[in-house]
Amino acid sequence: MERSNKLLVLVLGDLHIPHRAIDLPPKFKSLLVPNKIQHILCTGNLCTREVYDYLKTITSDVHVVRGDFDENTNWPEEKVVTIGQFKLGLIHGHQIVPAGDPEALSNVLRRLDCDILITGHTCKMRAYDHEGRFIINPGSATGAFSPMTPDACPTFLLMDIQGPKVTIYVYIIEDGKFRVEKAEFTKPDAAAAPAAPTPSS
Amino acid sequence: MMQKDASSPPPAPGAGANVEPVEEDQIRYLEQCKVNVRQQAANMVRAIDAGDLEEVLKFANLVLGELRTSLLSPQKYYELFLAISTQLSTLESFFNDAHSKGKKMNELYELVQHAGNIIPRLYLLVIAGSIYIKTKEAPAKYILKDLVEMCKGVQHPMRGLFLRHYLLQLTRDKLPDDSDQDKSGGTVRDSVDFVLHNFIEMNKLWVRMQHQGAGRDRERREKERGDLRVLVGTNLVRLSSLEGVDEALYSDVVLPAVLEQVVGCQDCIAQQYLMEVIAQVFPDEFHLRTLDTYLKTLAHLEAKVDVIALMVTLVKRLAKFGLSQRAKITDEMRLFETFLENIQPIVEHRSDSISTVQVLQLHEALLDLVLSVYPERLAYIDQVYARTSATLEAMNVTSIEDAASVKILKRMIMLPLEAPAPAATATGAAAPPRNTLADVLCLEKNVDLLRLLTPIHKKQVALSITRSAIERGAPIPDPEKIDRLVELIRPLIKDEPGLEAEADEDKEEFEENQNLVAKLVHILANESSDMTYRLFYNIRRHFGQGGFKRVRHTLVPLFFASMRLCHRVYRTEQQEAAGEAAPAAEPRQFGSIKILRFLLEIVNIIIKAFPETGLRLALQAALCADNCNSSEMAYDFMTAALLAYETEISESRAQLQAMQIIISTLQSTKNFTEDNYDTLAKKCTMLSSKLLKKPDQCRAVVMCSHLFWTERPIPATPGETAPEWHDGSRVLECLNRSVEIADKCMAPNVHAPLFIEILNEHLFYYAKNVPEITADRITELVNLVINRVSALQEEDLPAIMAYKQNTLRHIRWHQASPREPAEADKYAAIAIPH
Repeated sequence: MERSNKLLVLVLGDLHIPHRAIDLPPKFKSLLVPNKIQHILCTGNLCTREVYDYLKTITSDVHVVRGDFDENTNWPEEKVVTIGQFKLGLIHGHQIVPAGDPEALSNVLRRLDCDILITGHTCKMRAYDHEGRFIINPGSATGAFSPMTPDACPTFLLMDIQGPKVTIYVYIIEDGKFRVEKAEFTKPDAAAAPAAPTPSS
Repeated sequence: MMQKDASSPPPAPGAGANVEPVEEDQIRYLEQCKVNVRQQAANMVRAIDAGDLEEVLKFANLVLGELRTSLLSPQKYYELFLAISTQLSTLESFFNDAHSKGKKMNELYELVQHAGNIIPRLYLLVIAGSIYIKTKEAPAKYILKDLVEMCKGVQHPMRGLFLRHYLLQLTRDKLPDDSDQDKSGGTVRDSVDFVLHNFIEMNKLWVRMQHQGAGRDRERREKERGDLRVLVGTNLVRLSSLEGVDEALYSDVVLPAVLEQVVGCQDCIAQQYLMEVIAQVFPDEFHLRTLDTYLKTLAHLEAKVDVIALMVTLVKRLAKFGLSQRAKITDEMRLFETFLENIQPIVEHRSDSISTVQVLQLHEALLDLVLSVYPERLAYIDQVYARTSATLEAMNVTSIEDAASVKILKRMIMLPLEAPAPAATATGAAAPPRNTLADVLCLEKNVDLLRLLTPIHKKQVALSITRSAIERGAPIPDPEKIDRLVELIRPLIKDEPGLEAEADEDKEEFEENQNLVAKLVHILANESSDMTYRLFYNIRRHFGQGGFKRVRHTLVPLFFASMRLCHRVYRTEQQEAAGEAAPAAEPRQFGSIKILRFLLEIVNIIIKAFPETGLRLALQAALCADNCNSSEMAYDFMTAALLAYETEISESRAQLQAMQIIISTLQSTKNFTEDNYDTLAKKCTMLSSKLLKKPDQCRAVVMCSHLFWTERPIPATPGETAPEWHDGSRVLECLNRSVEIADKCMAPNVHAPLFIEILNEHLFYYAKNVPEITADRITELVNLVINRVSALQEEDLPAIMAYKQNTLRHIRWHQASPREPAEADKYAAIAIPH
């Protein structure tokens, strides 16, 4: 594995600072040090400039879409970012009805024509295969309270993109305990015709 | 070699700032003296080698004769003194040898006194005397006594000071330091008397310098005295290094004698320097025992003596000691009280000459002492604050603006809130117990100090306090503490006179500060939900004074914290009702409904000035109320949101965004009555079709279709018609409506994607098995889409083509699904042209 090929992407969102949380958990902050991560994809609801400035200290390449509680009205509603061999679609998700519904997300995935769709809003971490593509929700990095998910715990993801393969590390603090989970996703063979998709693993 | 006295540094050579006209002459003269010294010393060494005692003494006399000069400044004289004392070390060993070869020391002691001139004679006597003590041919105490008396023969201040300095040097390692009379030739008491005697004589000589010569030379004279002061101070260093001097001897003999001389000499320079040396050289334990004596003495010093600086020195010393040795400071010592009692009369007596910054320095030091020795005694902190403001008031100080004073005052206010000094942990000593934020908020008198600052500085302090409170993250558990905190940070909570212009200038900074204040909500915490509600209610009262520009930032976090509380209370209510949890010992005062009303009140305030934010909060609260099974409150929140939409939001992009979340929220509710749900759903559909742009209308109406097919369970006893939230015919109605609107969008690059979106919505319902959405209908839409896309211009194609392809691929995926044959059959019914 060549170091130069290594692409680390931080995926997080729904921080709601200071609306619903005082700050990121100190444990997370200690992990998110400058010069380790190449890109940040943020699903929105930061909510203040201060938080955006903080993300900028981790890496200069920060992509943000607007959440329903963001003060900055200039961030786009949705965005498609290409990193390595992957097309990544980014949308907060409050625009999607029913909120967080896999079928509804599936439609957005098709519309944005991306390999991985990243959404937030529900404050509940999800990462799953969908018809040969992948859908991710990083949850809330602060475990922000939401009537949809009253018992959210703080989560964020790191994606390690290498060629057609992405390894996803999920960082979770549950009941005060920190743990990391891992998931993998490989792009189906690009040569395979869309009519004959390879079943998802 | 001259014995280097580590604890008494030599007068700084070459420190003469104002070069006198005679400087060059002095250098030349000093060089001449040094040449003579070297010559005569060489002769002396030759005589030593020859073993000729008389010759030795003759040349030693000539060497020492150079010290008779009055032409050198103290620094130059010191250089000469060093050169000579280096040469004299050979003489010491010669006397030693002479003794071991059988020479009686008393004879030698007599012999050296034959020297003709008093300076060489006494230096030689000191050398002989020191060897005499060492040989123990006579008791040390008699020799010491004799030497210190004999030195009185030199009354010229500078020459006398150096002679006595030499005496102190040579006897340094020969002073009896225990109580064994026979072994040491005396007791420590004899040594103390010897050094005290020497000290008193030296101080007299030093003070006398001040009164010699013409008045216009005063400045130069004081500088020279400054150069020589260490010679006097060395006596005190010597006393402190005697092991036999214990606390009792120090407090009964040493200190009274020293203080008597210090006070009695009535000399400002001597008093300032010597009091400082006393504080510095003796152990902290001694000071603890004699604190009152020392402080009382300060009152008797000359008017020009800076007694504040002396007190600060002592307070700081003991504060540092307290940090590492807290256990050694007992209550019986009344450390804090003694300081407090003594400081006041001194400060009052000298109020004319004491400055504001001095008052602050002194009390700052006292506060440091309290925090290191009595960290848990908050009453002491308040006493220091009270004393500070009372003293300043007596001095008619009403406002503090100079940078140095402001800095101290800010530190004094912040100190109890901050972490203990890193020094405490670095030395390995246990860090003093930290007061919690709640403890610190019991302090009352800090406000009196805060009052003295200008508005801009008050605001800076407010920011520091807020930051510190948030960094500590320590909970504020009761409403009264909020009042105290708000009092301290008032400039951030509301507009204060003197700050208006500044607030307008920097909007970004203002917002940053308000977001900081907003974070305070997160440190309000109490186990009791009633108490938590009271905390929220109280801070809401304070935040409310800040005006719209502030509540926009501060009330939003309070809103969410209250929502969380509401959720927590409702959960407990449910558990109690189900018998899973024991009811609270005291009946709950603030139930979930009460908290929802509190939320509604906040929502209404925000909506007034910031409708878009207010609308979003209303919708969040609606979900919360719905979760709490309070459909009436949920209806009120939905109504508030819809009213805000109708009356306050007019920009078309903002309207679409608001409509999206209104629909999404209503769609996720679970507990509305059918009537209320019907009213709201119809209102949404109506408002959606009234959006300005056709594509917006089309998309919103498609969204509305979801209002009629939700996850919400169908009632067990269904009525005649399906409930509103599970009605395929209403879904179809919306979709048909959207097709009509899409058809009216004439531009192909607009309507083609709309049709693909509508097709995908059909696929959504098809997946959910909505009976009204049939395979035929989807086939029809697929053909329509293929048809419309083919009419597109080149440049619009890629994104739309991809969307179309992805949609078809999705259908094919299901048709090919190997896992669920039923699924495959269902999708096979959709015909896709190849």
